[in-house]
Amino acid sequence: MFAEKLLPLISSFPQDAEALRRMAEYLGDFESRRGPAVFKIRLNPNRLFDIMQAGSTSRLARLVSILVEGEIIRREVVVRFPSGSGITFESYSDLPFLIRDPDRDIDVRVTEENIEASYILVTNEVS
Amino acid sequence: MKSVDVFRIFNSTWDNSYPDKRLSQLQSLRQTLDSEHHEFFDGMLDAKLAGIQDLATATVVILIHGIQTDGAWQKIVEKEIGSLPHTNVIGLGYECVSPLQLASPIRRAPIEKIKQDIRDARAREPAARFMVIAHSFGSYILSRILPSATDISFERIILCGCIIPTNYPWGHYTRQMAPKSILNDVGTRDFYPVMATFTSFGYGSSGRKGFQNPHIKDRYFDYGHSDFFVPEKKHVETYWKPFIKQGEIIESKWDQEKPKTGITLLMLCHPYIGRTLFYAIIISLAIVLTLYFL
Repeated sequence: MFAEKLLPLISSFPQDAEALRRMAEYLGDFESRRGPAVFKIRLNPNRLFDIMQAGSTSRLARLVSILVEGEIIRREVVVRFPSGSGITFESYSDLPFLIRDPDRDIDVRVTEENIEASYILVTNEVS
Repeated sequence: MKSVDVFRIFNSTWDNSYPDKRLSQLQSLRQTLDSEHHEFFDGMLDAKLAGIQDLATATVVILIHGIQTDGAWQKIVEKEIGSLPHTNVIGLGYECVSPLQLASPIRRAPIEKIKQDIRDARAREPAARFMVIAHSFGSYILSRILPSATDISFERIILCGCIIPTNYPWGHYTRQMAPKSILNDVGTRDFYPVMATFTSFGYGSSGRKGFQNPHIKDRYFDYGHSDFFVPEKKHVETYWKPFIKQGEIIESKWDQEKPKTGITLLMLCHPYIGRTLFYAIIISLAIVLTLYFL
């Protein structure tokens, strides 16, 4: 069960244990119903906020940092083009100032309006 | 740099930059931070970009322990209270307070430390409702913070094993609080508050005989000093959780059954009589021993 990967984190972060336990329950429940589809799950910050009942942005940020550093989830930052497609980056630090939209062959400026974060589960499989 | 400083500087940059330059300014700021803060910083950016707002129903419950329990009980409370929706339980601690320091008037360091920790927690979750559970010396720390830090206030307060003087002016320092927002859980077998009263200065026996004050709801239990945290008693689940969740006060049966407080104990609880008696005995003993050995 993938959810078991969270058990060490639940022990290591007692102050955040209940929120992490909710995340483990969500993943465990998903996996019991959908099996290996759990590895294709993609969550956005709003969904994580709801699942873990973070209540505040700072707490969500703390919980996300625990999950990322604990190699439970990995962040993907997508720059959306006006055409609807997009390019994925691994980190905000990798984002360029301008990016080429291959569909329309134009330069698009990267701003807060056209980027979005999402999270995928970290698996041990070689990609 | 603490995470609260990262939180502050992130929000300041976000609020004070033009939208079209915000991202590049945040990227520049990120480069100046230690790598240990990068994930927290990125998490903040995730939340901001997703338009997430702090909930008005979010609750922060601060726990302040005494000198003997070293916060082991905080884990029990974190588990029980933390299961409430959108509730963040923060156990605060401080360096070891020796019995000598406890008895002496030099108690400033733990008070200042806890005060700053509460301010940091408030800075991180400015929209949240703040509540506090304080045990023993933690209750004393709380009583010293409220008058000296007017920016710190709570929606609900739970005291247990309390050593705050019974004449503490609660009405003066908790004006913003609704009626029945302060609970004082009293252990009728708890001798520590009495001992603290007659052996030292600045403490009171409110944890043994209650405040008996209209601002506070005294609730009595057949407990010793730290029995509130004994898992078998399910005190946190039965009595504190409903209060934190919705302000519900579950009455204690012991309120009606508790034995009368004896006159000796009442005298010891009195700050002047008890202390005078205690020091008179100590001085008499010292004189007798001195005469004996001379």
